[in-house]
Amino acid sequence: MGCRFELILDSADSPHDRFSIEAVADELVELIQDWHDRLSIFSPASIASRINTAPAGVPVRVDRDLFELLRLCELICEETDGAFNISAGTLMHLHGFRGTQDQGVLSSDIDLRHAFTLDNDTLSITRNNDLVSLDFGAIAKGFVLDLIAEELRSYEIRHAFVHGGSSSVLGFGLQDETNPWRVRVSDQPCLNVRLRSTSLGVSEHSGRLNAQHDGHIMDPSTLQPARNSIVRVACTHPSAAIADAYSTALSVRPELIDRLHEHGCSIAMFTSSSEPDSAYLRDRLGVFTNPISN
Amino acid sequence: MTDVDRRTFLTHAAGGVAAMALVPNLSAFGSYSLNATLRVGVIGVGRQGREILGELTKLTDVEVTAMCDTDERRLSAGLRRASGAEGYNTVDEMLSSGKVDAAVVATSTHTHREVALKCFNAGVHVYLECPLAHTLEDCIAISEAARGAKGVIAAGLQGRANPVYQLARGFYKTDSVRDPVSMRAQQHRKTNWITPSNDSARYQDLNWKLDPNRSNGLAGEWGTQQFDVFHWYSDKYPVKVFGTGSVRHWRDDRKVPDTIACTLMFDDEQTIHYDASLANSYGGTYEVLYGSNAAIKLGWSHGWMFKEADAPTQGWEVYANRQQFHNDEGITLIAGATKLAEQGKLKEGIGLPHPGVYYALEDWVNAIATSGSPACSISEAARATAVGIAANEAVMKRGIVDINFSGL
Repeated sequence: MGCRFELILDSADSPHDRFSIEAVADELVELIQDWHDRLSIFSPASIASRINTAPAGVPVRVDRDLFELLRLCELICEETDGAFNISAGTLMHLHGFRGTQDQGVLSSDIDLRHAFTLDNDTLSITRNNDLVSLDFGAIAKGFVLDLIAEELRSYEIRHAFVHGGSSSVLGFGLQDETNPWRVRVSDQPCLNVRLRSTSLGVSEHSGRLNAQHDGHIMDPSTLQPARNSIVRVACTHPSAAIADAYSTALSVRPELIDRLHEHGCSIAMFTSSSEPDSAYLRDRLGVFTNPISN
Repeated sequence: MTDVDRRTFLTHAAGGVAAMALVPNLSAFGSYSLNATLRVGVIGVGRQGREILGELTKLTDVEVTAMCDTDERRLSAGLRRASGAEGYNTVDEMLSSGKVDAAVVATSTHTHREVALKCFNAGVHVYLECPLAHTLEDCIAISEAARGAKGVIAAGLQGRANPVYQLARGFYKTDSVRDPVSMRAQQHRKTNWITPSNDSARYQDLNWKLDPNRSNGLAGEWGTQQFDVFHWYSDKYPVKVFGTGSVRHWRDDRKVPDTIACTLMFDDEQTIHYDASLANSYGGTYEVLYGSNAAIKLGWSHGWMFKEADAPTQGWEVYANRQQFHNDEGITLIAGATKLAEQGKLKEGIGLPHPGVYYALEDWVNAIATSGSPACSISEAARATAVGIAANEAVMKRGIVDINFSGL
């Protein structure tokens, strides 16, 4: 994850005093740190690195939480026709987002849709090709926010706001007695989102650029950086992990907007033009304010 | 460079390449081989226990087959971390299940005696977290019982198994540091030391560290690990300790100080200065050993050596990287640096890839595999715990306490 997380916990209506709520915050920070350590592909000791360095064909056993994340990734990959795919980490290496272009040339017949196999009985994952590199960057922050939401519920905390890197946001409960949490997702055109026990995922092509000025979002079907007119996607969903993953999928393949909207999320997509009609909105939950056209 | 400048530098360098980084050749570690999978049960799966679970899963030929906790919420969280493990509510149930060859004791300090003795009696290998106990009496009981135990018994004083610390100790024992001058350590973390709970009875149970009758305070719970580094390096134990402390920040009616300072004194009038705080995180956790030729600073995943201007140049410095920082030139030394440089991994080799507890657990498993001795025995841990208990007593009294090793 490697980014700043910020937490606002409200002790109102909870069984906690000021000191106890700070202790809950400490626990949540440890949870974030723990998952950062586990999912970091930059730490050779992380489980993500162990998966990425195990020889193809050799299963790596994982714990139940990580296995559930892997299963979720597999499901979203199917739902989005492969537009969201954690195996896109392979392409991050290839296109210079990992410091070196050290993976050589990928054969065009490499099958990233079936890059790994999960075994429900042994809770293990097996890479199907030594070149495959998993990268949880497009879902990790959201996944952790979902775990945080579970913790908040277990501590009977009713209102909280948490974000990771300002692109994955959890609006837990309400900001005050009646108002949802409000987040600005775009200045031009102006668009806000109201979060009431909902999460927001934002994906942006220009978040990081390589030496060729390509964005860091990869299209697993072309094995190239995603290239289309969309510059930013904001997606809400009750699950922060799904909001995160869908926002990436839509950055890769904008035409999925109606399909994913049917899956219970509200979506705003912005093109490089600042004209109001250059944005696309699907808002079944009525969470966007200062609405734009389309 | 002033002391403040140097500390600031080290913090900003983020454990990087200040002065001389001491990094061991890690290829020597993890070389054990067990005849069969070692089935491990973890007793106590709170925060520390869950970290241990994570590290155990990294070890070759080790499988977590069982875990035990009286708290259902913790047990459930622990079980999610170890696929295939069985959960138990009591130690007796776990030990009699026939599912464990070895046990890690990660319960609260004041329960160690009861749990450890059950494990010793069951004949399993035991890794016992430190401090060993919250009273000298319990320390003696554990120490005596361990002498008759069948399995390999290791104590969790992690510095002794830490590859960086082992390497740096080699330097300390040579002319690199020369005449020992003094020692200093700190542990600063901004945290209130509270484990949250919705239930008041459970809250009391979980927050034993804030109960003066069950807690060793900061000096015992944190200091014991760091004091032992000095014991191990200097091959001696302090005989007296002065302590003081107060609540500087967490004014929630707690009786255990959130900020403390101690001076531990040796027979030869050398001293260890120690301070710990829950109110400020600056500088984090480290130990420094000052000598007439150099100071060695140890930061658990990293180690550095700061040379005096009049210290002789040694052969290995030829191969070391040099870096300028403020008014000082620092030397980066990495064992096996030439090989790492060829592989473009010089930077990757600077810090330890795993947390300290990993190396302590690996050392224990290695001792089991080789029928050898672990890096830290129970008797060494008992003496370090006695120092921690005395330091806490001094803090609570705001005075001087003689350190009692009788019976250990």
